[in-house]
Order: sequence, then structure tokens, then C-alpha cells
Amino acid sequence: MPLHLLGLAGSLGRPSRTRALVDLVTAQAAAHLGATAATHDLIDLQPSLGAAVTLDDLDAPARAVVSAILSADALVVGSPVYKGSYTGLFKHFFDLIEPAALAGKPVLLTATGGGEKHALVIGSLAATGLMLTGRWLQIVLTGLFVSPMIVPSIVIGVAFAYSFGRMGLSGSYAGLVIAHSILAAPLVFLSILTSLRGLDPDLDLAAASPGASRGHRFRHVTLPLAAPGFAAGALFAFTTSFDEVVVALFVASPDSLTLPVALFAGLRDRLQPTLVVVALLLSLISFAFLWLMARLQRPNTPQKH
Amino acid sequence: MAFIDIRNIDKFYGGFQALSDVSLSIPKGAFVTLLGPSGSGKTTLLKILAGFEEVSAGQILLDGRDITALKPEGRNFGLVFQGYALFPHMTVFDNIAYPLKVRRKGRAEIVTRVEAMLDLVQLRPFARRKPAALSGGQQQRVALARALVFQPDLLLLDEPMSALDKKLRVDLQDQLRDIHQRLGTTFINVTHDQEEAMHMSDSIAVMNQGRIEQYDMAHTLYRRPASRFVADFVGKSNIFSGTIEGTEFATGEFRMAMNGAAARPGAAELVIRPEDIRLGAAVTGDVVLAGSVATSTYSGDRALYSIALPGGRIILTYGSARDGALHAGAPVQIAFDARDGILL
Repeated sequence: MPLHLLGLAGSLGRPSRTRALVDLVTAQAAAHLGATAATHDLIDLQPSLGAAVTLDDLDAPARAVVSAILSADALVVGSPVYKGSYTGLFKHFFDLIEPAALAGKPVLLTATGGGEKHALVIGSLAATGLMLTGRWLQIVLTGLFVSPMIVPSIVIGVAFAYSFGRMGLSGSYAGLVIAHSILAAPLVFLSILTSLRGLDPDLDLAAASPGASRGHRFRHVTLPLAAPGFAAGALFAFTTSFDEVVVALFVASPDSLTLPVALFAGLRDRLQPTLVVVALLLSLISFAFLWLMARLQRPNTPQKH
Repeated sequence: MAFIDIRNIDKFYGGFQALSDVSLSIPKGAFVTLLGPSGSGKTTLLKILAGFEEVSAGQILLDGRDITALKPEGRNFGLVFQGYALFPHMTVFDNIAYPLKVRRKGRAEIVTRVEAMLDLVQLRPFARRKPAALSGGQQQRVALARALVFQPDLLLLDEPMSALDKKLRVDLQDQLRDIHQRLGTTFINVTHDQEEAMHMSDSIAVMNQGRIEQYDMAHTLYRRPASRFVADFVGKSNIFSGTIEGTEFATGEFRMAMNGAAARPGAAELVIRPEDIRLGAAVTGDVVLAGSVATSTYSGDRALYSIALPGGRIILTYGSARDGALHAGAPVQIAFDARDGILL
């Protein structure tokens, strides 16, 4: 029996770039794997989904999508970024599904957009999801996730240039965003993972024993304590994307020129005084970031006596 | 009927058996301590009660209802952790209010109940502080208030005093006993400190190697230990290995008539507590032995001596500290009576 892939987009509007991305990724992956595929959009489940408190409240079409998800061999999910996170409806939908029901199912996370916030969504989803999995899986996934940091950027640049060429993304703005999101995600991932691992596991148990659900514990205990990690991750992501040269050289075009590439080109062609001014401004911005980063990472734990 | 009924619990971690056939009934409103050395399984049992660990076999009943499979958040048990586990980003007030907020209580009720708890643990002036600005003892009292504010059916305490210094520990023990009497909540405490166990609890379950060796009231445990382990672990003791011959207990150093207690002939062990041994230049008793002082440990109100017998055996006993310490090497006599002997 062929594998069955299911795409799910969390977009709330039409036409939707998220839907287009999920469609594209699902179709390409299905073609590659010889699998069957289908894509659903959460907006189609309205208004039943928004009104549902349990799975039983859903109407028949919505319930059909839930059972399609549970029976699929792998999921491709995507959500537009609203206020630095996935959409509320997207979370609401997955809140209805038992966490254990999706255990062991491969999931490909996708996101569209243009900036460090989008790397933050993928990186933080991966880091928090990882804390819920087993130890060996954690090691393997961590390795996979941080690999863009370890592989030389020239190799990544060539790889992007080659694969974007095949997908028709060469020189496009979208290509640049995808490349930089992939480069920045490990930094977000690591800084969030570090701050989550630094938390005393008893805090979660202390919140659980008087009856707090996993979601409540995450929002009121884990998240506030790991917030500096999230903020530092966002900063890392921004600075990475901001001053990355090598990959940008490979994938950028006159339509999507980044500042460092423009500076480099300016330096090579003719030396102008504006370059010096820009360089000075950049240095000042960097100092500001360093200061901010140091503040964010100041430990915030009670001393024990 | 027992309020908490722990029935035949086994717990395996891979091939290691952490608990084997543990059963315990706890009446409502009791203060029970699980006492044992590290690795005895007492913390594992507490985690199972809290719902953080699953049992490999067995059952836990609360008021006749099976709660074995219930998640921690469904149990309504309060928990006090060894490292306090206070939420560092919340004030003392918010820490204590957290369980009530989880239960969606109204603002007015939260304020009333948190303030009542603050009074109970005497921390009213510290309500607006963060945990980091409190001492260890104060932090532990906040943790206690947080665990009690939602009126749990059961309060579990995981070595709550182990990070505190001795003086503070005794103060907190008194407070805890007082709070227990006032609230009438059932308390289960875990500790390796036998003085703490004796001081606070109605009954003590002594654990060793994943089993309950003895579950009794403190004085029964001390005066009638059920095994050599209990005799050795709870309080100080002198244990003689020997045999029962007729109505006498015989060991290398002495023979002693055991009035009627010698119903089981064969190998036996005799326990004599240090405070049941008289020490002096010339003392009388059912058994009198001569020896010399090996070491003395002065502790203000009294002195603990170890007396070396001619065969090399060391006997522990107390002496009055008022008359000044005996010097090492001084010849002495020790005496004890058959009625103070505990046969194992």
C-alpha cells in the first residue's frame, strides 16, 4: 500500500500563501516518495472548529479531517505567522487532538513569511516539541536541527543555489527568506532548548500536583521562565540573517539584495564615503545587540540555602 | 477504614526492583513518615503516591476509590519538594495563589485564602517578595502554604528539611506538627532522619531495600523493633549475636536468663539500648561486665561512651556529664537487666 501524506494549512484567508506552500511541499514530497497526498485548510472547518470544545463537538466534515490526520503516514503542516506565532485556530485544532494520538508520526513543519519572526516559529516549535520526546530521538533530532550551523556556509550556499534553481526559486525574495530561516533556526532552537533544559523539572511537577494541565503549566510556568531564551533566539536569528554574506551571495539577485552583499559589491566597484557611515552605524547596532543579549541572558533563578 | 490504602505495590526500573510488595494503610488525619536510608525506596513510593511514577503492580486506594491510574493533576494532593520548587518569577502571594488560579477561584476568595495561609506560616509581611529574597526556611514555608492552600486530601512532603540547618529544622518540625494538628489534613513525610521522624509523626514506616521492614508508632518501633535493621537504624543500639539455650540467652561475653521470653530456641540477637546500660566503678544488674573507656563524646547534657570489653567488643552507653568526662582507658563496669533486653 502506498504511503499517504496529509497537508494541513492553518491559514484564515484566501488566497493563501501558506496553503500554496503546504500544497507544493506535500505534492513534491508525495511525488518523491510515490505516496498519495491530500491537503486541507483549517478555514474550511469553520465555523464548526472554532465552536468545538471537544472532538465530539465537530461536524462531520471536520471530523473527517481529524480522522484523515490520525490515519496519515506523515503530516506536512504550515501556518501563517500572526503576531510572532502560529494562528490561534491552528493551535486550537491541535489542542483538540490527544497528544499521544500523534506520537511517532513524522511531521514536516513549514512556515511562510519574511523575517526572523518566522525562524522563531519553526525553532521554538521544534525546541518545545523536542522536550516531549525520548532521549535518543532528542539526540538525533538535535543533530539534524543544528546541522546548518556545522556544515560550512559555502556548502549550504551551493546547495541552496542548486536546489532553488530546480524549484524555480533562484534569485527570488522567497528563496532568500527560506535560506536565512533555515540558517537562523538552529540558533533559535539552541537558545530556547538551553533555557528549557535549565529549568528545575520539579517546577513542572509543582504546578501539576495542584491540578494544572500541561497547557496551563507551559503558559504560566515554563514559558515565562524560558522567555529570555525565546528573546535571545529572536535576536540571534535577526543578527544571523542581517549579516550573513556567503549564502546571500549565492541566492540573492538584484531583486533581493541584502545589505552585506550590497556593501561588498560597493567595496569592490568603487569606494564611497557612504560605506564608512554604514559600517559605523552597523557597529553601533551590534554593540546595542550585545548589550541587549547580555541583559536577556542574565540568570533569573532563586538561590537555595 | 483506611483513608489511603497502598496494596502490594511493586516497582521495577528495568531489571532493578525499587519496591517489592509494599502495603500500607493510613488512617485519615494521620501524620505518617516513610523512614529509610537512601535507596530504600521511600522517595519512589512518594512519587507513586503523587502520580509522577507508575506502579509495576499493585493498587492505591483513596477513601475506597482506586486512584492508581490517575494523573498527578487529578489527585488533589499537595506536594512539598526537597528543593522547594517555588516559581521564581512569581511573588510569594502569587506562588501560594497559583493552585487557586488553576481552579478558577474568584479574586476575593483567592485573597482570603492566601492571606489565611500566609498567617498560618507567619509570612504575611513577605507576600510581595520574590522567593529569591527569602531565606531557606521561609521558602520552605511558602512551599508548604502553596501545597495546603487548595485543601488537598493528602499532603506529601519529600525530605522537606534536608536543606536546612539543625536549629531551623527543629523549629520547622514544631511548626509542621502544629499545622498538622490545626488542619487535620493527612500528611505523609519522607525522610532519612530518624529524629525528625520520631519528633513529628504518629506512625513510622521503616523502609529498607524496597520493602517496609516495620510500620508502627514511634515508641513501639524503638522499644520493639521487628528486625535487626530497624533496631540498628532507629536509635542507637548494642546488638549481641548468640543463641537461646533453654531459658537463657548465651553469647561470648555473658549468659542471661530471659524471663519466659525464650520460646524459640536457636540463634538469636539481643538488643540493649545505650540508655538501659548503667555505667560506673561498681554497678549491679542481671549482667555485669568489666571493660575500659575507649572513646567519649561529650554533648552538653550527657556524654556518649564507647566501652571496650576484654574480648574487643564495643558497647555504647550514656554517662552523666555533670561529674566530668571519664578518660579514655579508665577501667569501668557496665550493667544491664534482662527486662530491657529486646530479642530479635
